[in-house]
Amino acid sequence: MTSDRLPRRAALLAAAPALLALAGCQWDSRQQVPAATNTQAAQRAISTRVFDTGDQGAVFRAVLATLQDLGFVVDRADPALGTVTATRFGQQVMLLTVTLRTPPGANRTVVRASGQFGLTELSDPAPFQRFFEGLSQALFLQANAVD
Amino acid sequence: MHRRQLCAAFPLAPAAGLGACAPTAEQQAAALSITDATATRRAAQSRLFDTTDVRFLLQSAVGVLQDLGYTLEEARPEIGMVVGRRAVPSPVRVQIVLRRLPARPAIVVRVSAQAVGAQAFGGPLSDPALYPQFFDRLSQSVFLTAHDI
Repeated sequence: MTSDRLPRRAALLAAAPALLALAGCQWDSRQQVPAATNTQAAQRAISTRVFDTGDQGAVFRAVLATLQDLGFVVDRADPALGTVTATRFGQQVMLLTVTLRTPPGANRTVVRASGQFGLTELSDPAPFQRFFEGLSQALFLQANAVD
Repeated sequence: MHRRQLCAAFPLAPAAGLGACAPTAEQQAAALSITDATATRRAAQSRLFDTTDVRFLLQSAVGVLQDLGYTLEEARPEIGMVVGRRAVPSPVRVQIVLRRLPARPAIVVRVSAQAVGAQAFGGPLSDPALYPQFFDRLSQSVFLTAHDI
């Protein structure tokens, strides 16, 4: 390796972070904002369960208990609308939103979760499966998959 | 060098948008799994109070947070929940949830805390010695609040 090539290599190494930053500027909102791994229907199927109870308050309390079990702390909670958003810090920050919906007169509550782990959206069935297992334990109810 | 070692060596890689360190489905599932330690931790975080007055007990819990210099982030008396945050000496968030027992005139108070921060600086605080201190302060706060102090 000749000595006159060293500065060029050093300059290239120094430029690498700048190139990375420039790559970040090429951000197409039309692609980025609606970007999704799964189809709408597939994402709903893996992230939604139906519990055989019309007591939305009981399900709401069970969601809070499950989130506490998992080490989350609530950021926002709206029991009237049936929404909770919580955060857990750690090696990767995890954000989770859980929504509840009890159709009028129905004896069932639809629970849906969504979120991200680090910079990755939750799009695999496994994390949702585990979350609903925990919620089922807290509720002593079977979580039924949506049709 | 394996991917995990790379991620450990360059913890800011995900922030730089390098998808190589995206968590696997197994890591995501593990993050949402109830473990054997969960029940033990839940017991350490919970204490029974012989009262049915959720509002008063929640006010007493808020009093403890104020005693300790926390500010409230969220307060939902209809579900018996408050969340407080303190920035010093290190950023911490505390969540307190009250639950009326259906079978007896008592309320379960559960408190959990998390360190706010990225990587190893953040995460759930699971030291069991942490929680008795809080409940001692809550008992004291119940007494003081009842006497308008």
